[in-house]
Order: sequence, then structure tokens, then C-alpha cells
Amino acid sequence: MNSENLSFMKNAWLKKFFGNFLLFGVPVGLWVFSFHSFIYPKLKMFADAQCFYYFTNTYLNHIARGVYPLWSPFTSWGRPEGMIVRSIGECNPFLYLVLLLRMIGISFPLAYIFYLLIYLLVGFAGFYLLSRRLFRHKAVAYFMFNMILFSSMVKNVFNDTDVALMFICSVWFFYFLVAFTQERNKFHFLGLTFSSMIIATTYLPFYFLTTFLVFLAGFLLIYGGDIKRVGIGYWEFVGKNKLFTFFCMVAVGLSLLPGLIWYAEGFRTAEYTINWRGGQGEKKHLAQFSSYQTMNMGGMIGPHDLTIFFSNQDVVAESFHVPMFAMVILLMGMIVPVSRRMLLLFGTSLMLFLISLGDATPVHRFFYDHVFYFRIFRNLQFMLYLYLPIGMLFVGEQMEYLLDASARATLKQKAGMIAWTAVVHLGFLAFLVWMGDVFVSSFAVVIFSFVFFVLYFLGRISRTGTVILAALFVLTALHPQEIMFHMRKKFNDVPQAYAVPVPSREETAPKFSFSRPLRSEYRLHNITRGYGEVEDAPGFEYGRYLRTKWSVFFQNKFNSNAIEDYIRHKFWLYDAVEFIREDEQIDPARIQSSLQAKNNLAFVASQADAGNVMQMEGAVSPRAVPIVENNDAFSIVRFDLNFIRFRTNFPKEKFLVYNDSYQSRWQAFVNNRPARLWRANVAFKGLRLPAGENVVLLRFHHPARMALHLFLIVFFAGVLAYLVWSAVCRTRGPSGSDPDRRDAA
Amino acid sequence: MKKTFLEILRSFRLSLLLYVLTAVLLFKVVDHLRVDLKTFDYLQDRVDYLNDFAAGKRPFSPYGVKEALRYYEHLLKYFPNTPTIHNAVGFCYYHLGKHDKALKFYKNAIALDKEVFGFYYNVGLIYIRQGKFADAIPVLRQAVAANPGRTLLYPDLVFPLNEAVDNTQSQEGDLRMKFISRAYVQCYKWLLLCYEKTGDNKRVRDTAMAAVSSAQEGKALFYYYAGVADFLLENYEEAAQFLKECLEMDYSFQPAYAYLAQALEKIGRPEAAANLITQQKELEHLGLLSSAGVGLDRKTEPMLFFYPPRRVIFPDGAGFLF
Repeated sequence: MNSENLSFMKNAWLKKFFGNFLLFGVPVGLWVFSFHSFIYPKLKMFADAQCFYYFTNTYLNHIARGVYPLWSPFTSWGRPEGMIVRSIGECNPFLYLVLLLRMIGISFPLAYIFYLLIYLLVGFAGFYLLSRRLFRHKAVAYFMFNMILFSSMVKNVFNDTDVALMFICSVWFFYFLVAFTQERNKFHFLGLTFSSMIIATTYLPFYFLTTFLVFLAGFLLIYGGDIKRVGIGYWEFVGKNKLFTFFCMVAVGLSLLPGLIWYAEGFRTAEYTINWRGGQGEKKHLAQFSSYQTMNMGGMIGPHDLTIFFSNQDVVAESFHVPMFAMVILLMGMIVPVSRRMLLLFGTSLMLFLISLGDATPVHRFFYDHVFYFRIFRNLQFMLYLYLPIGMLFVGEQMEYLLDASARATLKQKAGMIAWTAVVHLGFLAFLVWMGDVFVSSFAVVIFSFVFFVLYFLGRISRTGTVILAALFVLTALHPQEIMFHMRKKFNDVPQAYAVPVPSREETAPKFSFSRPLRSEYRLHNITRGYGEVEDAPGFEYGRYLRTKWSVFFQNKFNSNAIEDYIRHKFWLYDAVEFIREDEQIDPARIQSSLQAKNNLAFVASQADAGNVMQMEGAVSPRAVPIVENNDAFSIVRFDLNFIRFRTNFPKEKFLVYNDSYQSRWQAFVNNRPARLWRANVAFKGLRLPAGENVVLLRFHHPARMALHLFLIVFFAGVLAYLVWSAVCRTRGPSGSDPDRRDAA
Repeated sequence: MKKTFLEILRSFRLSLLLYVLTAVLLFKVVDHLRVDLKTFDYLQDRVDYLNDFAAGKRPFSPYGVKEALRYYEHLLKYFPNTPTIHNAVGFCYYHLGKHDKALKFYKNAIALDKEVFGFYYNVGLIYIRQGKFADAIPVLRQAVAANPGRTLLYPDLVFPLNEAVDNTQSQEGDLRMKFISRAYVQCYKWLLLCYEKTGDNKRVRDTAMAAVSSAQEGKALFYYYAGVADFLLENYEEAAQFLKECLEMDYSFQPAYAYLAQALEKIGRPEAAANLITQQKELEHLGLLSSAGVGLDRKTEPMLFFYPPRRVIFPDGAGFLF
């Protein structure tokens, strides 16, 4: 290859690079600008996004010191952390971008928002690539990219991060599914595997599962004749790549482990409870709703009121929007014949919308009655961010038809299309005027759209040039800019919207305290309570869904004022033990008065010995003794989230109560020998300690459990690295990944 | 024939048909009442904002008021005969600067409950702001004739926070009563202003006397108005009497001095008038005089009645509080 050729290739590459940079850089730049005041000068967040933000910081600080949080000793008098960890998708390698950024000195708020925005852009890129797979014209895929970019997806990053996270892995799943169905190669199968792994470790994979099942049902219904061909293609791939397929299956199986373990633990005779889900009904699992009414509680309806879409009114963080141009295309598309793919996209989107309406239609009730997992998830409005992209693809289909139709139309047909364009746009303008108080940009979009379509139908705009891309970008971006302008203005200088301060790494490292604060002394920000506390809370707090069953019993059946003085001390020493029943048939008033009077009598749950009193050997103190600091008889050796080690040296045998919630997965060791851990004083841990020097270890789960979680984090990162490496190899290889060269699906 | 039929069928295979079928499906399948009630529940914080704003706890935000307006306008579809909702819609329009629209909804509220002082008060406020004094007179007369107890029957009258701050020891019921009493006084002031602007001094005098006998506060001002009206009606004896009453109640009421001095001169007591002028100058020198209360108080705001939360229970047990 001579130097002239090399120079030509280099120039071509540079041209392509700058072309793409302009093509995607400008919209992304505008996108970032549209919410800049949410990031600078101070990060702003709303609702649950604050909780995820706060908890992510705590979680990553723990991970950075090599500890996976299985237990939180600080909140709710101690409780398992599993469910909260689920909410941030702890296995997702992108999450650890925050750690990397912090290593190079970037502050947590900036690193966190950087991670979210990068990850969101990864999702948008996936949507673009999926569109490239589905549509013949790059212009339509680009239109889809702008549609998703300028939709309300970004608002959810600042409002309820879960939704955005769910969208990203789902988009990539569908991209790899389509790509694998078209090409059937290892790379796409690995991508399918990895996106499935991420989905399996999201907080609630059920939204995706529902989307996928509805899509699958629609596919079977509409593409029934192609099932065999597709199935044979899959089977041939598996036959040729047995080992690889096996690896992928194992990987997906491993990713299911945390969720399955957590789900299985929910069956363990209800050791945990989710407070408000309880009610009076029968429950087989802690996550299950006691009744259909409980499940549908609260305002769960999303964007049913379309006036929000047009009117210059509701610009709150959780309200949805898509570019107004989509509405113009939907109207223009009324004359577009429905293809099978359009039917599949529209049908899937519509069915998910109906499900999202909860008890307002019989659809969700049907699934609730017949599909088990519908009983354990709510917030059906989250479905919006899964059916909305599918609906956008339907709009893309219509757009593609409109662009194609013009190319093959006769002069007479073109005149008809221009007339139709005029009718639609004038009608829409009239509608906007009738609505009143609409976004000004709505009018601009409709007028520009009219000009665009007329010029296109007259052949003044090419289907492949840059003009059409620029026009689609402007048409799509205009209306959302006005919405975001109002959003910025609305939340400008609203102190409630500022992200809560997060603790540093040093502050996160667990420090043991012998006493808890009283309720009147508790100062943690209300919105983040129960999400990654790093200091003791009084324990009476709501608990963010999850507490141990007995701590809830203790909180509900005992007078909080009466027991606060008892519960504020973490360790109590007793010389006598009374055995009580293991079930709820106990006398709270008697136990409460004994605890309040600091009687030297601990209550230990033992069905077999119920009613008996056991006296420790030796002299008896008149009152139970709280331990308030390290001393010669008792000292904390080491303390962390998942364990505590302490040294005792009592002159006589004692019964020690540790006011940290009892759970059967806690293990006790005295001088390295297993010891029995009792449920004492209704909700807490207790154990007998012999006289003399002892080293006691209390730990939650075997260390292998923590190792499993840490392994999964590394494993996920490994699979992602392998996927990226495969992608790089593909782009360098002879076949490349040009969608134009794909097989027809 | 068969082919033709298929072609006809195919020609209907348009997206339009899909839209129509979807619309029919949604119309048939969706329980629209339930959807609306859930939406009301979901939008509850808009109402909270409006209440906080009316109570002076949060600053004015056009977005917040617009969102609350959307909520209440939507609610009107279901409760068209609830006067407090009409009043809340009017309240939103008022603060968005659309006084004519606000008037319409306030009047609706009056039509639905003719006994509530607060609704008349809100209408009167707009007329006064617009300078339509003649229009304001009948409304304000109805306002002052309304029974305050009827307004207090509405448990969710939002009253400004500063009232509560001034009286932290008082019970809420007392605060509400005090708030309403002040609003009555305000209505009398406006009424007097209207009569004054229309030049009906006899009415000014009669209304001021009525206000003196019924209002709990602001009596000095009402004596002043009665005195000035009598002065203009050339009833100098009565004028001097009322103006004296005014200054006995509030010696700092600057505008009364000049009228009283003139009235005293008219009834042949120039020494007393001179003494009064001297006294006025001394007080003025000490900065103890003011003319507060005379004319239109620009800070006055309309009243909001928080629409009381209602619970709807469906036959299947689902309940919504909104």
C-alpha cells in the first residue's frame, strides 16, 4: 500500500470521525446543556434518586475497603442489607466507574453523575444501534437516537434512577437479541448473555421480564410462520458452540444467584417483613402483597393525561415527555399501512401500557391472578420507560414509510402527500391553539415540520444527506429544550432539591458505639434514612421497607417511650434468664415493664423451656447492667458491618444481650468454638458467657457468602471486558459489524 | 370478487384503523374514574404547594400555581357543585394575573354557597384591585352581612402563617376567628372606600357606624370615616364627636386631626382647634403619627379554602384519598 493510499484512508477516517462527532456530539452537547443546572453549581436530585445516590456512596466506600454489606448494624436495630443493595445493581461494572473516577480525585457527586450520564448514553447508543438494525435508513435511526435522547429519560436519572438503569440493559438485550437473530455469532450471544446478567441483578427484573414476555407472545402470534426458521438457527448455533453456550448459561445462572438467594430467604418463615406490604392478608413470601388493593395503593398512573404533553404547565421531575415531533409523525402516519413489525411494536407497547394502569383495567388483574411474580412488584408506572422506547420504534417505522413512499411516488401521489401534510399540520396547529397555554416551541415544531415534509416530498431534501439529519435533530430537540428550560427555572435555587451531603470514606468506615441516639437526637436527612447509614439511628425509624420480623414486633407492641432508654444501650448483662414462647403469644406489657425497670432478667425465646427461669451461677446484681464503654471486663476488639468481635472477662457466668436484631443466619463463636445464639428480649441476640476470659465472635453468614458477592462483581467486570474485547476484534476483523451487511431476519 | 374484497380490506390496513381500535379499546377497558382518582392522589403535592403558598410558607411559583390549577380544574369535572374547588381555581387564576377568570370562578363559588363570607371577600378584592368600586359595593355589602360562623364551618380555610406566629399560644380556633375578624374589618374598609369613591357620604357614615358596632378591630378608623362623612355632610357636631372618638381610641391617627380641627372651628371652638393643631405638631415632631389603614392595602391577598380530602372506596375495597 503506497503512502498516497494511506493518506487517503487516514483522511477518510478523519472525515468519518469528525462527521460522527458532529452528528452525535452536537445533540449530546445540547442534551447535557438542557440539564446543566441540575449538575452545576450543585447537584440536584429528587425523590428516590437521593436515596440511591446516598446509598451508592456508602456501598462503594465499603467495597473500596473490601467489605460487601450483608448487614446494616446502624438502622432499624440491625437488619439485612440485601434488598437495598439490589436497588443500585451492585454487579453492574459501570457502577464501579465511580470508584475509578474517585481514584483520580473526582468528588463523589461529580463521579456519580458522570457514571449515570455515561451509562445513560450507553443506553442511547444501544437504542441507536437497535434502530440501525431495524431500519434501512440511517436518518430514521438518527431520528430514533434524538427521540430517546430528548425524551424525559434523563429527568428520571434525577428523580428515580432505577428506571433509567432498567431501560439501559433492556435496550441492549433487545439489540443483541435482534442482532443475534440476524447474524447468530458468538459476539452477539455474549452480548445477550451479559445484558441478561445485568437485568437479573437489577432491583426488579420483573418489569423487563413482563416486557420480554409480552413481546415474545406478540412475536409468536404475528410471526408464527417464522418461528421454526429462527429456532433452527438458534439450535444450530448452540450445536456448533456447545462449550461457549455452556459458559454463557453458567454466567446467567450465577447472575441469578443473588436474586434467588434473596428471594429464597424471603420464604424462611418470614424472618423479615416489609412493613406496609403486610396488611391482614395471607402471604407466602415477604415481598408479596397481602391484597390486590395494597398492591395498587397510591397514585400509580403515569402519563394518562395527555394535556401534560402539550400544556405549558406540569414540568415536574417525574412527568414524562417525548419530543412533540413524535406526535406529528403519528398523525402523518395515519395513512401508513400497518406492517407485521409495526403491529408487533404497537401491540407490545399498548399491552404494557394497559398493564401499567394497574387496577384501572382488568388486564393487570388477570396477570396478578395467574402469573406468580406479578404479586411481588408494584410501581407499574415504571413500565413507561420500557414501552415508550418500543412506541418510539413504531413511530420510526412510520417515519421510514413516509420517507420511502415519497421516493416511489408519482407526481400526483406527491401532490396528495403534500396536501395530506398540510391537512395534518394545520389541524394540529388548530388543536394547539384550542388547547391554549401550550409550549411555544410546539408551534415552531409544527411549522418547521410542515416545511420539512413539503421540501422532502418535493425532492429538495435528500434521504441520505446531512440536511435531513440536521433537520431531524432540530425538529426533535426543539420542544424538549423548552420543557427543560422550564424545569431548570422551576428548580433553580430550590434548596430541597440539592443532593444530600454524603459521608467520606473515613466517615463511612464503621465505628462502634455503645449507645444509640435518642429519637430527639437523630439528625440524618429524612429522605435517606434507611439507605446506608454510617452512624447509629435510634432504631424506631420506618426502616425503608425492610426490618427483621421481631424488630417490627418489638417496635409495634412495645411503647417506644418506655423502651427507648433500654434500647439505646447495645449491650446488657444479666444474671437470670426467663424462657418465653417462640411465637407471638407473649405478654409485651410484662416484658416491657421488666426492661423499663432494668430488672436483672433477660427473656429468651425457647418453646421447649417456656416458663422456666434459669439463674446464672454466682452472686446476683440487683439490676441488669448496661455496658457503656470498653473496660477490663468487656472490650470491643473489632467491629464491621457483618461481624463484631469482643473480649469479655467476667468474674462469673453472665447472659449477654446484644441489642442488634436477631436473625437465624447470625452465628456465634466463643473462643473459636460455635456457641448457641438465642433470640433474647424479644428481638435481639443473646448468649451465655462463661466466667473468665473469652473472645466472642458474632458474624452474619459464613464468609463464603461475602466472597460470592465479591466474586460476582469481578466476574461481571470480566464478562464485560471480554465483550468489549470481542467488539474491538470485530471492528478490526474482515467482516466488521456493518448493519448493511447483516442477514435479513 | 374475492380479490376485490381483499384489496378493500387491505386499503383499510392503515395506522388510522389501529388508532381507532386502540381508542375504542381504551374507552371500553379502562376505568376512567379510577384513573382520574389515582391521578389526583398522585398530584397531591400540587395541592400541598398551593396551601403552603396561601399560608405564606412558600414563595410564589408560577409553575406551582399552574400545576395546582390543573389539579383543581380536573377535579371540577367530578365535583362541579363544590364551591371550595371553584374558589381554589379562582385563587390560582388570581395569582396568575387572570383576574377576570378568577372572578368567574369566585362567582361560581358564591352561586353554590351564598353564605360564605370568604367568597364575597375574594370577589370584592378583585373589584377593588380593578378600581370597579360601584361593582364592588353590592358584593362587599353581602360579605359584611354574611355570618362569620358559616365561613368557619369550612374546616380547611387556609390562613396565613404570620397570623399563627403572632399568637403561638393561642388555639387554632381562636386564630381562625381572628383571621376572619380581620378580613371583616378589611371588607368594611373596602366598602367605605367604595362609597367614598362614589361620593356617597351618607352611606359612608352609615356603613362606618355599622362597622363600629359589629367589627372587633379597627374602630378608630371607622370613627374616622364616620367623622369625615359627617363633616362633608356638614353635620359638624356629629363629625367632631366621631373624630374625637377616633383619636381617643388611637391618638396616632394623623388624618383625623385636621378634620377634627376644622369641625371644631365650624362649631365655634377655635381654641380647641388650635390646641389640637399644636398637639398634632408635637406628636408629628416626635414621629408618633401615622395614616395606616386609610386607602387600599396593597398587601391584601385572597382567601383559599383547601378542598377537604375525600376518600373514595370502590366496591373491590380500593380506596383513594385525594
